[in-house]
Amino acid sequence: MSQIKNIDELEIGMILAEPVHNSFGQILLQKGHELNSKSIKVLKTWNVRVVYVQDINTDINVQEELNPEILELAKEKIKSRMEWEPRNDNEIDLFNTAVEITARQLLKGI
Amino acid sequence: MINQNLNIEDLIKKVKDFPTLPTIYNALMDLISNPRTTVNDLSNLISQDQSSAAKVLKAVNSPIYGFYGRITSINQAISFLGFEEIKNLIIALTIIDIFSKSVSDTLFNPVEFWKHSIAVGIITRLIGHHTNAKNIESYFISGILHDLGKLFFFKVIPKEYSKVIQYSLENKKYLLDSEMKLLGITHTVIGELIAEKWNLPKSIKNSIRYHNIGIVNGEINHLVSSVHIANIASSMFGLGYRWEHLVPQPNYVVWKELNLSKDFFKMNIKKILNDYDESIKLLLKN
Repeated sequence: MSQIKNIDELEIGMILAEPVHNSFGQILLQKGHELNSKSIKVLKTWNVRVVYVQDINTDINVQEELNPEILELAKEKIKSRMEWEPRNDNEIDLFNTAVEITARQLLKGI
Repeated sequence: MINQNLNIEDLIKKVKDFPTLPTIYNALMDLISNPRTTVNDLSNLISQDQSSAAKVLKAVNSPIYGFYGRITSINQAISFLGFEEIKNLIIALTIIDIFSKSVSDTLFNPVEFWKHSIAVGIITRLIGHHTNAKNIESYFISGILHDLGKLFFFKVIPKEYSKVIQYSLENKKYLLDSEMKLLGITHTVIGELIAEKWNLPKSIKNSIRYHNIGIVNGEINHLVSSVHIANIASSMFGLGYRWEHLVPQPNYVVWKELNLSKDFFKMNIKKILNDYDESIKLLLKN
């Protein structure tokens, strides 16, 4: 998850969750950039007020692994509503994310 | 046809009898279209309506806009969000308010309806942000209002529409096809007529009319593409309910237009779920 930070709240080591643009639409800093004193200065120079940074604590990668049986059940549940197969990376991403959410709902007994 | 007495002409006539938007909306449109309007003028108008003012402040401080409690006046809210975004926010709040009552003896559940709409609003806006959309202020509201036509059906022909839904669920058919078969007109077409009656901006009107195919008269449209994907994603993620079992496949050309990263949903799902919970608290509970 990402969160919006005011320019005054930025700290060295924070990671940008979104690219930062200047008022001409040019990219100042790329997504994934780790802030250092120089880059924070650049943001101030360009009068950037807020940026999106990554929230490390709730990163999806640190979540516990889901049990394969629950995942299979979730997959079947989603597939029963689809008359189509994912055919590109975006659709695979959409499908996998839906499976993950459904699996967690099944775990919680919803 | 479900009901021989119900024809398309009657339905279209009923659009004329459909409720109009409250007076604050027209006053707001007039003010915003006048280039000499100042932040103070707009702020005075919004502040006259206490419930709108309070809701605007709550919304601006919520994760949807991300100012987290730092905005304390309507003036500040207008300066941060701009005239258009404030206008759109008030339209959304007003319309949710008008249609928050359930209709007995029908399948309509306003809370589930708005939950789905809010999820679509949030994901549409997120896609807009990630793709550096030009008119980002229209994204949230276009998502929220994309199913306006369903509201019309639920309100004006609740029993007939409940039958359409039942038919669609029992036969595992797409809702649009069932509407065509049993009513002769779809919620997307009727929704566009209401948007016209209400003088809603073209961007919103297009999203209502074309969200199911994602393109406008055969042409690529970034906003409508975003609503199209957001609608399918919300349904697959089980956020709210849209009275349809089947999930349609996204339109292929829409992916090309949006050019989302291949892990867009994986990376943003926490934010989507969090914003969704917060927005429901904010918009659906007074």
